[in-house]
Amino acid sequence: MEQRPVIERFATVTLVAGVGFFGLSVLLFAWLPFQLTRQVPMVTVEEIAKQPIPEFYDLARRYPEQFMKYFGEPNSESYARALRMGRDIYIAEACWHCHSQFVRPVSNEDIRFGRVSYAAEHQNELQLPQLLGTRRVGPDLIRSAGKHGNDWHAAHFYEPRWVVPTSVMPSYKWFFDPPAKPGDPPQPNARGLAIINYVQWLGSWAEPLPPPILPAQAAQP
Amino acid sequence: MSESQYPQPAPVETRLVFWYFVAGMVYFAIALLAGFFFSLQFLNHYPFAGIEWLSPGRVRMLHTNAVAYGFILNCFLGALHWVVPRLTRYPVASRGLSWFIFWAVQAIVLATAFGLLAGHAQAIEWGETPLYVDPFVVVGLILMGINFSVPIFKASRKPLYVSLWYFSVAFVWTTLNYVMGNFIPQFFTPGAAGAAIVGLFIHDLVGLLVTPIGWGLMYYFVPVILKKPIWSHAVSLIGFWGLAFFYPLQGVHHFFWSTIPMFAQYSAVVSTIGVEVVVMTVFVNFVATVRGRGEAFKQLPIRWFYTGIVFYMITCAQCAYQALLTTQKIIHFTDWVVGHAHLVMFGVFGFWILGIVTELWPRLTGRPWHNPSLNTAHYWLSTAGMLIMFVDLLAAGVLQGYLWQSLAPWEQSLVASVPFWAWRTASGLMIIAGQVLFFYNMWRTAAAPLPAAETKPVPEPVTV
Amino acid sequence: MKRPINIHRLVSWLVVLAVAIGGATFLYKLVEFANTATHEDMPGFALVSVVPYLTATFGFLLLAIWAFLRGHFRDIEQPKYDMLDQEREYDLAEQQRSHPTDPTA
Repeated sequence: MEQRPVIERFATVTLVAGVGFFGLSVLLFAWLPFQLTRQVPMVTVEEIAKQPIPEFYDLARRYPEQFMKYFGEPNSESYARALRMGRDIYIAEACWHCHSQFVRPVSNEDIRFGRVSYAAEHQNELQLPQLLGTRRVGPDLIRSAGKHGNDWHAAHFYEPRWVVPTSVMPSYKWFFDPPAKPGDPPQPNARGLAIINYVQWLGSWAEPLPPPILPAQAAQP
Repeated sequence: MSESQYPQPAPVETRLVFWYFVAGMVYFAIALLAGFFFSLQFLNHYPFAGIEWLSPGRVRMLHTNAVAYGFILNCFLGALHWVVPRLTRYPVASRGLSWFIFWAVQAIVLATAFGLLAGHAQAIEWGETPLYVDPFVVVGLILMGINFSVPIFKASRKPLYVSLWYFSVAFVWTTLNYVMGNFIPQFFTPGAAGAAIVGLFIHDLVGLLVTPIGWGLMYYFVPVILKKPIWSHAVSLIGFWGLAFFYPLQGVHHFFWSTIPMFAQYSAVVSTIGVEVVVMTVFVNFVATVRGRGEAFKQLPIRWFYTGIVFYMITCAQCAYQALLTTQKIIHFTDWVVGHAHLVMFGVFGFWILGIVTELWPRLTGRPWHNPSLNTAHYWLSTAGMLIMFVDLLAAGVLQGYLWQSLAPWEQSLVASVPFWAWRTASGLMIIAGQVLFFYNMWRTAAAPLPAAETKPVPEPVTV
Repeated sequence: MKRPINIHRLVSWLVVLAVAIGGATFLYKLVEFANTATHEDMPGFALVSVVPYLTATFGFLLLAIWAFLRGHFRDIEQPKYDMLDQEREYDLAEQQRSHPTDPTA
């Protein structure tokens, strides 16, 4: 064979198809979005923790011994620790496989969950790696701050079907210490406090929208 | 090329192929069980409730990772160790390296399984492999690439057969992709930019590792079993380059309507539709190859392969349709996507692997199948189970999407999904039943005494 | 008298129909794209999603044309025959191994 083929050669295939086309995709879909979102300042956990959410103090009041034992005084330092830990549990238990963290501008999601997501709210250290999610068995969580009280969340994590009878969420009994005396309710441990705090934090930055007008209400005279 | 007067056997390390298939099937069994147990959670009958290490969320990650890295990667590596030396006439780079990679893959898969169950997962879809395992994976991928590239490079003096294009590029892509997907979103890019990269990673793991190796194997096994060349080698050139160009550009379609810049979302639509046009050429090529050979479908491997090819066409047609911003309004986040993923990973690549194992197992063990009718039952149970699961999850997805849009209380979408989830579990049981028959048949075949003709000592063939 | 349905003709018409529908939607999308691209707000926004594709495709096309003109695709179908010949040889070798006394070997 005199003619050395070019297109069907090892070097062409690995360099053009392998490195070249892959590089093009990285350029277009990784580097360019990165450049566009870079203008939005990246927020660290310490900056977020300057102002703890009210639910964090509520946890300290509601479970004083447990809170003191695992997190000490409720302040910015312990809040940052709780946020980081809550995020890690969210990943370890694969919460993100059944809950998303972005509200889309379609399918009435702004009415159901709240304000449509914007780039800046994902631009923080706790989104490394991002937790946008690709599946919803349970509802979206990015607007869950304050929707339920801490006691609701504690009961829900312990046994979801006690508060939502048709729920298919697993129970997370290992987020709780066994009760000191038989008959007492189990108290959330470090993980329980952290994950409740994390879920209550999600969306605490977004100013609330006016209550939505549901189609059923609008139809009424 | 120096050729002796006598035909030379292929430089295949048969035992390695055998053990890769065994390992792959062991992880396949684990993945099936994990999927089955996870599906019971949706019916509120999870058997291990309250055990932290077997929490359904963690078992779900075990399911997907055991499928991707345990089942598919192991079986593909086994098949590559059969195909690459036969296509190139050269053995892989090093026999010792091959065995080292074999044990490294098993160690990595086991470490991943441990990490996932212990709660060390990384929040990268399809890349939940704990961060401390990731560097080893990268090294392993590079070694795999070297091991297979050496024979391909040696054979590259002549125009390479289409399978070898796919194989030589798959490991380049996967190494780059793995580094990009596992490290950049973890350390550098949060939020929208991170999602764009994770989208690329999810998509490229299927598109640039599993798909090229899968098609490369089809381009080899289909002509060899039919004893008829592929319809057109030139058309396969279009298929290959089209895939290489369009596939990496689609990742963002996993996050439509998110905060990722819209130009990226629109571009992803364009390339997703573009690749389906290319896939048509591959499909036509294979259909034209088998044309006029209807009797070939009596051979089980061919039946597996072509069922997989038809399923591939279905998923791709579905892909062009579902990756539109309009359809995404309804079906995103629903079970539709889950159905799509199952058809791709099991209905296409799983079927191809099962066809390959059905073909090679007697040749690897030197024994005929213990009971061929079990294999036929295996095929029908798997196909029926897969189809039921696919249709069921698609329907569930549409229902969920419209219920969410209708602003009905969230719980209503759960109540409405339960019958579909029950059917999903039932169809999964059908698939599992088929695999049990197959595993039993594999075991009985390998454990049977060697046929009489083979037992006499074989003298070395005379070479000049 | 009833004419039997000509299956080939039916398939051909179906293909034409599918291509026509597909082409029409494609044209519609092209027009939509042209409208967006000329929209004053964000001309670059629409172009950035297409221009890199066109550039890369054009580059690859040049490579392919160059290779074609150099005659690189003349034997493009050869590897598929070589592959099957090799397989035949391996099978023969395997037969000789398992039946070393075979006189045909």
